[in-house]
Amino acid sequence: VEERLLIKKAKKGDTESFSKLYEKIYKKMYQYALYTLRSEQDAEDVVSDTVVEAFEKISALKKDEAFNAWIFRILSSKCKQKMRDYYAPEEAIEEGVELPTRDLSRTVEMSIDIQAGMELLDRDERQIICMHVISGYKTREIADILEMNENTVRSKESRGLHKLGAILKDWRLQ
Amino acid sequence: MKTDDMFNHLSEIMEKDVDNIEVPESLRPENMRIKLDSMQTRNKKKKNKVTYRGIIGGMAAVAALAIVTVGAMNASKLAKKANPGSDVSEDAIVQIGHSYRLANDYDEIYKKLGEKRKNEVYYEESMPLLNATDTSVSSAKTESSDGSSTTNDSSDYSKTNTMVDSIDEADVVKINDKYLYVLYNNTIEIVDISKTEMDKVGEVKLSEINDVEEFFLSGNRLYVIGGKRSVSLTNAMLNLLGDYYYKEYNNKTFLYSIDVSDPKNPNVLGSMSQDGIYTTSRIAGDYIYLFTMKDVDVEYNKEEVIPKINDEKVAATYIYITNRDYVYTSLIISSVKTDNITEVVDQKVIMDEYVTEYMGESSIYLYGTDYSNGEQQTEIVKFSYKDGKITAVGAGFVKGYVSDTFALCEKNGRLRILTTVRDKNTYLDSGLLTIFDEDMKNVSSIDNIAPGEKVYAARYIGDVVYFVTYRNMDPLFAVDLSDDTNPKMLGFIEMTGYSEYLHPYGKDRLLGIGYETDPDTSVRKGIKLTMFDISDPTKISIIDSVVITDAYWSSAISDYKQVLADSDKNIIGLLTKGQLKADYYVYTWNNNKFEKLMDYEINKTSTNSYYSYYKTVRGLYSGNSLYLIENYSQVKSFDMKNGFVKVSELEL
Repeated sequence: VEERLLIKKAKKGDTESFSKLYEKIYKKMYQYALYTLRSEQDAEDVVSDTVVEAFEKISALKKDEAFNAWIFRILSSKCKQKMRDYYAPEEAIEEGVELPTRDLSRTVEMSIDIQAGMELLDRDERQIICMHVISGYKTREIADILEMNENTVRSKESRGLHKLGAILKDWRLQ
Repeated sequence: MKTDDMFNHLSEIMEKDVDNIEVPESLRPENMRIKLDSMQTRNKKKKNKVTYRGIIGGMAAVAALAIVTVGAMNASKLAKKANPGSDVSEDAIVQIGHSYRLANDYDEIYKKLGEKRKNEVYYEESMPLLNATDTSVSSAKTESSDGSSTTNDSSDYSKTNTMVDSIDEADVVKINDKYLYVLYNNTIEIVDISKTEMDKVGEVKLSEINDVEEFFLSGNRLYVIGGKRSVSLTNAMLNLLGDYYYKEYNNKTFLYSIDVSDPKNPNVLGSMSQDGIYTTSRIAGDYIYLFTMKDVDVEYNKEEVIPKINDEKVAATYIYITNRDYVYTSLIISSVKTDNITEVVDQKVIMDEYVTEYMGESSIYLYGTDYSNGEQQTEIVKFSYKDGKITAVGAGFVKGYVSDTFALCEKNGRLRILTTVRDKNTYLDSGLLTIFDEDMKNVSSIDNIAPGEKVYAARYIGDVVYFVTYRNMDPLFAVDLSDDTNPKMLGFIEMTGYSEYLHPYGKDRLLGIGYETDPDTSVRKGIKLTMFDISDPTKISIIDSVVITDAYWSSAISDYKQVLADSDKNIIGLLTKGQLKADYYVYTWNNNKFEKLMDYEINKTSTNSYYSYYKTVRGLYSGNSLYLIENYSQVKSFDMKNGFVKVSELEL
């Protein structure tokens, strides 16, 4: 109920209401972008751009649509675009081709472990796992956003998880 | 673990982890709100649009005032080693900036690396104290010195496009007047190009390495760099993770010297090796500098933490460790003489985060980004190199990050560097030019260049730096650096689109390669070539530009080594890719206009992925022929004197 009210106000241009909606998920947004893009600078840029775009377009948010899912969709497509920029656009990449390791900097211990784990994944696997785990998308929705076959999404995710399998055991829950 | 369990476990970890992540200040809800508020205000005023020229004009005035001549930001704190009696090079600097210090012994290194994790299993085991004495490498065979590079400058063939004129870089293709050397399937094929029909006359195969990366050509010598993946996997965990993982952890890089004066019988003269995956290499004077990177993680490979060069552990006194909290990786730099590559002349190891290397005319600079008080800054560490000797000099900081490979340039021992700085409060990008003296003392700077824009491409030509920033339009700036303490903004020119790469094209000309964009929507419209007149840097003008509209990407943008731009031969070659096809274009500069000489559609019958496919396309010339290498495996030659018609073709 509260969310509906905030959305209503935000649609009228109320930045405070919009910020309240954003506040609930901004950490997850940043986390998602960070693990997907593996660059703090890019993650910051992408989240920032997403917020600006979301605020500009919030009037397009449908009545029954959840704010979170909607803003994550904008974020996902921006991340996807960013990853395309890393390479020649739309190129399939070889496994193991390294992403540009840009400004990975120190966060906390566990984040480093997860970041290290993310290094093992190719860009699709990384994005799919982050979309699923962090933003809670269903396979179908991920397939839609990434313009990918649902089965492909499933198998990529499973492959990614298996790659992570060995080190997953080592990640401690603090 | 089953997939579902793994998924649930990962979800749990991510859930906890979200609170550990430090979200940048700028993204905090209160700050985002300020940003949105200011956007709203701006949008309301938008009808009354300020012209771009107005903004820049005003900015230039501000920038001129903002020149700083203090060393306040300088962070180099140099301390000479107290007892020069040890085996450390006598002038070794113990501390570079705030960040690095020379390790006393291996124990200190193990300790430092162990700090990374709190639950060190590592310390429970007793680690034998290793003897940090001699690392001078194994007996060297002295080679005859006939392969010396006495290449005459009047040679009529293309050379690899390098960052610094006097410093050679390795590539996957090299050419001279007689032969074309192409890396294909871990083999270097030697192709005789002296006749119309190309002929494969020899090949260099190295059984010890299974991943040839790049090579140099110098006179009759090839210097080949490649990697070997370790097969000695002891850790079950590594097994599980597949070979990508141990490519990172257990790789070793080799350098070979090969005499190809008789291409039918290439002769290996010597080799050396060092741990880590290959990052880059250079030839400066008579020395080869090899850079590799090795992950250091005591949990996975504690036996292998200390990098080896020629199979011997590098002595602790050559290893710099960071003063920061975490160590990710080690950068290993070694130097060898071109006529005797077996004997290592000098070596340095830097254990820290990932850094990027820039090798200027007399120094190696390593730079990486860091955050301090929520602001991004770039730290630069300087090592001089002279006759193979690599010596720590100092370190410095600048605000922002290096957004273009060519943003750094050393001249007379002084470093000039351009960074993009994001304002903590307004979130606006702007450019910052900083000059460091020989000791990495900050001598002067110009800040707040082009507010709201990011530095896209830079090129230093003599005492002037030209650079491009971009938001909706592309201003090319010129700054006079002839007085280190007082850099002066000379002028700028704006145009639509933006350049991603700048290349000096003969006297008074600067070639820009980048994108054409719609000035209103920023939508990319194609690949754009622009020729600037820089005869008077205070009045830069555009002579001509051309847009390749059915292309959305060019290899020239992502890899300067793929650019063919030679003003003496008057030829510009680049690969572009569109939705449906990829093309190799050749232009010439004729009567102050770009003239298209060739548009050749690249054959896409490759089994390799697109990425590696286009990565290896090269255009080179020798004499009157242009050679196009596709997918390593095919060479096509074109007659430059006769309308670029295809003359011959060769499968490797």
